[in-house]
Amino acid sequence: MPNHLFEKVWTAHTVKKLANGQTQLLIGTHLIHEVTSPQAFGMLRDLGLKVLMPHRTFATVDHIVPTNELVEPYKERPRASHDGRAPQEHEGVRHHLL
Amino acid sequence: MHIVGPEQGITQPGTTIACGDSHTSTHGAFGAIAFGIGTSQVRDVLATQTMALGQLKVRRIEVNGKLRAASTPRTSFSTIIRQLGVNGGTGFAYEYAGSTFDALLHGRSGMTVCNMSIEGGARVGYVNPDETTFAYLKGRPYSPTGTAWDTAVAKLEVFRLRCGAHYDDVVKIDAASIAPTVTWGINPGQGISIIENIRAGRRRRSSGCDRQAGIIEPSPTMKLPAAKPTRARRSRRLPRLLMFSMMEMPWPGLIPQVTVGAIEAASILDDVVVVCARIGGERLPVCDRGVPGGAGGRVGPALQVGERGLVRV
Repeated sequence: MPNHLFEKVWTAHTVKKLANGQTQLLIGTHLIHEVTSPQAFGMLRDLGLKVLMPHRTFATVDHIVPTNELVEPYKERPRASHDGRAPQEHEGVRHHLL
Repeated sequence: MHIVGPEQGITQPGTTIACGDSHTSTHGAFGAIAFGIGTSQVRDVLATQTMALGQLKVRRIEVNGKLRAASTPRTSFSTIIRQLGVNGGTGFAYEYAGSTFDALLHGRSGMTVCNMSIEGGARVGYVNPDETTFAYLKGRPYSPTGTAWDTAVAKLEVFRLRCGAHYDDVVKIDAASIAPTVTWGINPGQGISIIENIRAGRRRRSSGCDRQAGIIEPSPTMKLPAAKPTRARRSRRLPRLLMFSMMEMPWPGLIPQVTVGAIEAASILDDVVVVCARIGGERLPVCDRGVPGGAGGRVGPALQVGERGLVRV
């Protein structure tokens, strides 16, 4: 049965059908940035969980980057911890500087 | 995020991508199925690399034919939004196709259109990857190399669209009907293209029960001739939308009336005044549609704006 790209990708990434009718979908690439991920990292910490697939997770600064100043958009390293690494680096997530 | 992904080759066709940003559909330009997600889903993906999603329907949007000189893929999406509405894509993934889109939607143009899927209510927007996609991604830092690349391309060949796929909906748009669009309202679906008649406000007595419908009765006035640049182009004070409209409109005296949506922000009001002042110094009637939350305007040589009182144009 020929089908469109969406259906093929969806089927190939389906882990299982959930009881509520939703589909548990594998995410090949997770892109994270400074606005919507810190709280998620906090929730993960509270649950005692780790990032499952750091090699599929990529971080960069996004929303705080000014349009005209791509180089060194911030004066200080964002949320550096005791050893100078950003929190996501502890998890083995690659952090792309601009 | 949406620039680093493609540039670094992190974005690949035939994959699923999630990011805590509503415009993640941008990556669909490279044949990825990309979802904008909320923070609790970011948590889910961090912890499990999966997330729960309801099934989406798929709408194929075909644009066929030759675009007018002034029109761009970006313009096409304004037309799509006008036709389908800002909520028209709810529950859908949009597939962009047709001879116009097939030829144009690569790289930046594709990113722009896929990015705007969310403005039309669609969670996902994508273009079927082709040789241009592979050419762009080959050799990028995270793209597969050597035989792994060949395998990836071969695998994707299997994914490539074949004829006869079932779509939940198909929308076909003639490229010739697409022209630069000026939005006048409070969402991107409220616009009018420069080759259409401007809707002149003709005041009618409000029935009292439906203020919005009662105040203005749209009626055709005149066609705008071909666009030519105006002095307004140089003004830095004009908000982008209005500036765009001024750039596309002929100079001067051919615009019978400016119709604006809700005027809530004082800054926008000021800009409207500037726009009107710049149209050849003419006293141009400005009409506000009486959108809830906006000004209770009137048609005439002045712009009346609710609490700010009467502002002379």
